[in-house]
Amino acid sequence: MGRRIVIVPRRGFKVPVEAEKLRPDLLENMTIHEIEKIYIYEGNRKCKLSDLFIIREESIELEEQIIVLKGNLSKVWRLGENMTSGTLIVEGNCGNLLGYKMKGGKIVVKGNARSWVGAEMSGGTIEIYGNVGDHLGSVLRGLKRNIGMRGGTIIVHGNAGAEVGVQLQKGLIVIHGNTDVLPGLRMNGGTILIRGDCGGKAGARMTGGKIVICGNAGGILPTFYLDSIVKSVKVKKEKIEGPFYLLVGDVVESPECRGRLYVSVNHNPELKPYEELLEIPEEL
Amino acid sequence: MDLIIKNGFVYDPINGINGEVMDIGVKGGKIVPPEHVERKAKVIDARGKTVVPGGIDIHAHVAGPKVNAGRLMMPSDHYESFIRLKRGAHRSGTGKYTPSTFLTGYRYARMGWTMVVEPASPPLKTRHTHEELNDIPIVDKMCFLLLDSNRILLEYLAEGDMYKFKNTIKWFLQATKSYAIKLVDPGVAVPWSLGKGYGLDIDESIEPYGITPRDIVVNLCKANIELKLPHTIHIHCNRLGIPGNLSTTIRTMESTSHLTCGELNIHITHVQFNSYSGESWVDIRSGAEEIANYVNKNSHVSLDAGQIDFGTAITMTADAPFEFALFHLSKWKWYGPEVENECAAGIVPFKYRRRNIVNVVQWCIGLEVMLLIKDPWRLVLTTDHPNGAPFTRYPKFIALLMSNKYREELMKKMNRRGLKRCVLPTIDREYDLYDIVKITRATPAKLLGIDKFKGHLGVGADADIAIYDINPETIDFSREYEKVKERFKRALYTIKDGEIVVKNGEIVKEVFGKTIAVKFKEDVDMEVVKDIEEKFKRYYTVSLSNYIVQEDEISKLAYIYTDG
Repeated sequence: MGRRIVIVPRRGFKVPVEAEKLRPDLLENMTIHEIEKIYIYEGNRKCKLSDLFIIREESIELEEQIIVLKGNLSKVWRLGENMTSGTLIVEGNCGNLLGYKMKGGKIVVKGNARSWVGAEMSGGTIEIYGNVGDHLGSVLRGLKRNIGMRGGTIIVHGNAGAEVGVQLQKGLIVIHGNTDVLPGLRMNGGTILIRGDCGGKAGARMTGGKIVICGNAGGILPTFYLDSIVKSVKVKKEKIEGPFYLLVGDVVESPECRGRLYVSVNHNPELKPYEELLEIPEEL
Repeated sequence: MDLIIKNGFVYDPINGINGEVMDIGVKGGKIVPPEHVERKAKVIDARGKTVVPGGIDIHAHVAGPKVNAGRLMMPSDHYESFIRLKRGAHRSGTGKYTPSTFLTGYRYARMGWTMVVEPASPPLKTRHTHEELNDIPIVDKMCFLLLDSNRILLEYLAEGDMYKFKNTIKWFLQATKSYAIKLVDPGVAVPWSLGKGYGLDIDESIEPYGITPRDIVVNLCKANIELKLPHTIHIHCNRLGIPGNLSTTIRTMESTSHLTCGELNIHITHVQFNSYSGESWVDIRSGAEEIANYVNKNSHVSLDAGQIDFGTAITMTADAPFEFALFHLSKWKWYGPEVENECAAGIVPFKYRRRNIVNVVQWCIGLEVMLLIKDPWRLVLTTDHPNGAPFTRYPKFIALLMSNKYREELMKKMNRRGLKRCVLPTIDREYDLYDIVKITRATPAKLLGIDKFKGHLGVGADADIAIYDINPETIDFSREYEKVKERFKRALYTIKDGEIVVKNGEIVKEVFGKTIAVKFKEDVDMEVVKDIEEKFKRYYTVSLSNYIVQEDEISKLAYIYTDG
């Protein structure tokens, strides 16, 4: 049995607030009194949750635990870190590292989010109605190649920054807007669907997985082979229409070319000259 | 502040005190007889506790350019492990395998260690090393100088000009305010600058100088003896980490045996990496028995273990070709810098695995060496931080040395085929507390030649004291290994220069220790300095006057004088 907890900041924050304890599954069996006593850090200062936020309990007897955060939370970091169940709703902007290492449950942001959303997550859903910063569904710096986002779904209705899905292993990232450079850097599996344009260098050093770009790709890296032209692509049972160039690579990383890059034919006229490479010469 | 430590079980091997109940007085940062302490002095009741000198780490890469590069290469190390600031007590810090400078000092102090040696500093970059050593709180520091591939020295050696050779070493040690000579894979940086050099053996020629690593070792050792340096040459042998390097290590030890009549003249460091018998990775076996046999028979060698532990480590050494080979093994990250005319280096993060035959053999060799060598006065416990394991694992290895049961417990989880290649399962020796204090405190102080004021608790010594919550009368070291490990991990009290810096395993005060350097009573021959200046103009990008580290660049400099 769960309930709905509404959390509103008492003031605007100027330094980052590390709110890794604000996650539905952790607050499930706590009374409001106990929740108020949770300590978090504001900058280097340790303080109680109730010093920074107003917490109130709404309707009891819900099927799952829901936390609603209202107001400007763009300085509140690490919301929903390691969460396994429940729902976290942010009505406003939120800060870095949202849903870091998330394992299950659902996060909905009705505003913008900053960088590192869903980094190293392994399950659950994140839905963002605004824009997000860099490193969406990616991995923190310096980790081995087999570490990355391992599952779950991220849906962004706005635009995303650079380096979407770095070292992606499994799972789905959907971006309805545009992205900056280097989506799918070093990715090894999973799917990235970009409905808008991309800043370029898509799929650099990829060894597996699928990237679909419905808009302009901003140029293709020379380490990709043009394989064929396909009519449509399937992404999680959804059929995306429009002819696509199918490119395979990255040949620098692995000669097997297991990574697949789908780029829209209609929005990429600069790739037109390469189509003649597809025609097999008669003498062969 | 005056202190008196009452009724503790005192272990002090240099003065031959083995677990006697004694009082120890501290006055003005030095140890004094207990009756000389003022009446108002603060009393520490150490009844039922163990009182030992502060620990000394003879080989840990804690400062310098390559440690800094190691920090940059492992960002994950820093966001996963950190401490927060505590006002009035300590600062914040990050890192587990390559901790930041402040955290390095705090971690040592919390374990009861009060001195650390940075064992490989390139001469040109020693200014950087000193900058970082200045930042390390609590512990005393010193650094060794890499001189094996120095082009100026090699030139003199090829010409056979031993007078200039000796004086140049003297000049380098004085100019960089360092303490002893370190050799890393002697001479390897010269072929490495041409892209060769992997597996350079002790009798292979180094082109274009036409000398062998054996010449470098023998002549540096001779110069070391003539200069009367307090520490012997500190050598990381050729062919480190390559199967079959056992014979190279033994030949290196033999090469200097004729230079003194049985007195110490060579220190083989992290011997674990140099004791692989067999011919390839397929038939790698432990060579610890041969090493131990040689050391037990010959009294001119001292060594430290270089024990590894399973888990992540960051290998960093001036042995550049080996690191390049290791990079191809680990397939992750590599950093390979070179210092002009002096040395090269490599840094590769690595993971030791319990299921890997080679790693299991490596793990066993370190312990075998420590258990098979009979004389603890020539043996030091190290992990070659951060190459084998971080220095914070010392309590674990102390527990392992003291408990056969603990060793058996850990060996159950390891690769059986690896264990068959080792003799560790057949050894049942267990260290007592007296021997542990020797290999972590007394022996390093003796080997470094600072046993007049460090490593013991006699009158006149520096008041560097560690008190552990261990009652040697009631504890069973071989069975209660978990407790031993826990108690050594956090000292009850650590006293540095008469100040209580750690209480109940937590830092309560930040003080700064000294940087110890060697100083010669006679100055360097001016003719030789002119000659070096000439060579500087020809080879280096810096001028000689900018090269010298000035005394005011080191925050607390303490000299040890020699006659050489």
